[in-house]
Amino acid sequence: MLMGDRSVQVRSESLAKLELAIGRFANRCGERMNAADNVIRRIDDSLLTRRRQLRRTVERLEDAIARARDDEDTGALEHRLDDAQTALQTVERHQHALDDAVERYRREARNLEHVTTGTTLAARAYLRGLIDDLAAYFAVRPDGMGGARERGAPVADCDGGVRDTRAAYDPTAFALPDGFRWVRIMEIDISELAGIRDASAFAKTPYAEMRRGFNVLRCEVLPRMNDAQNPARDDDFARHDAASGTPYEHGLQRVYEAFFGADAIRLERADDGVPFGVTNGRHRIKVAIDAGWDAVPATTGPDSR
Amino acid sequence: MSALGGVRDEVRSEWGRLRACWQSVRAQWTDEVADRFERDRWRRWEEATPAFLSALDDLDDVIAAALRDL
Repeated sequence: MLMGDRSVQVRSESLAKLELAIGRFANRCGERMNAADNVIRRIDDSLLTRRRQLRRTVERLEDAIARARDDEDTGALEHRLDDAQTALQTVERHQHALDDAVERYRREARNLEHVTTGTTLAARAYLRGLIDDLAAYFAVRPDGMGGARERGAPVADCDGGVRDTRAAYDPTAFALPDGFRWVRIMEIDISELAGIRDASAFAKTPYAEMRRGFNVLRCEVLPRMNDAQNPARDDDFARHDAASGTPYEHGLQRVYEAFFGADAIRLERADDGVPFGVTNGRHRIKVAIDAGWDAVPATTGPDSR
Repeated sequence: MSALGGVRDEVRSEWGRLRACWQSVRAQWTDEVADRFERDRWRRWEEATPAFLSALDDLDDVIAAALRDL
């Protein structure tokens, strides 16, 4: 290997690490923000409950003092009333301080969330593009998947133009069949894809064929599924393939079934605070990331929502 | 441990890891593209994350004070 090639490979590997580190940071931030929201809710509820208790105590004591006979000693009641009023003021002060601090926290959390979703996706897509460019230029394959033509070269766009793979593609405007939803790549635990490092990991369906499948999904299958007059489903794609004389392995039905059939991408998570684990479809998710997709169509387990 | 201590420590530690990774990449990546990436993308994390951590610290102090009186 030439020295220049070695340097490019090192840089490709570093950029790939950075891309993964950015994804991991975004995932962890999302999880921790959910955890912080739970703490805030708990404290807010406790303060509210305490305020209600103290208000009731104050009202009860005020009422007792008002109803006391003229000759009755209300000193003890008044002392308790003072204590309750002081405690109520303290709780109200804490509540105001909490409201202010939460407002500032939420502002900064929204800002970071914006960075960790929008900017992260853009940055990761940008880094992917750089990695692809380096691999293409020096014919170095950092992860062994495909050559320059498959990974780094511009992808054909639906209108016959080319699409810059550095730009993230957001497919979520397309409606999905019942039982499916778009899941953002950022919501998925991509550390589970670490094992998919070379072409041999794509034994069942070759990498390039899966890339082509995503392009067909984007340009042909999803638009037909979203046709307002006649939303296409499995049988419609079968008829379309038969009419055009396209064999199953190259047709639309196969792509439809790969994403919406029995072998669809399946994701599960225990609760909202954690990323989705991948039950089925790790290779498709890897290809989606490489192709710059922001989200994948998936079924999510019964416990995920 | 304060109410939000775990959250704060984890975000801070993840942030430290990400920064270390960036610094290591930056040491080898010194062209114009790197400058542009740093200016247009990386800087947003550099601004947003410490501001978030600072707001989290303040919120944690307020919660700690409230818990003392509850």
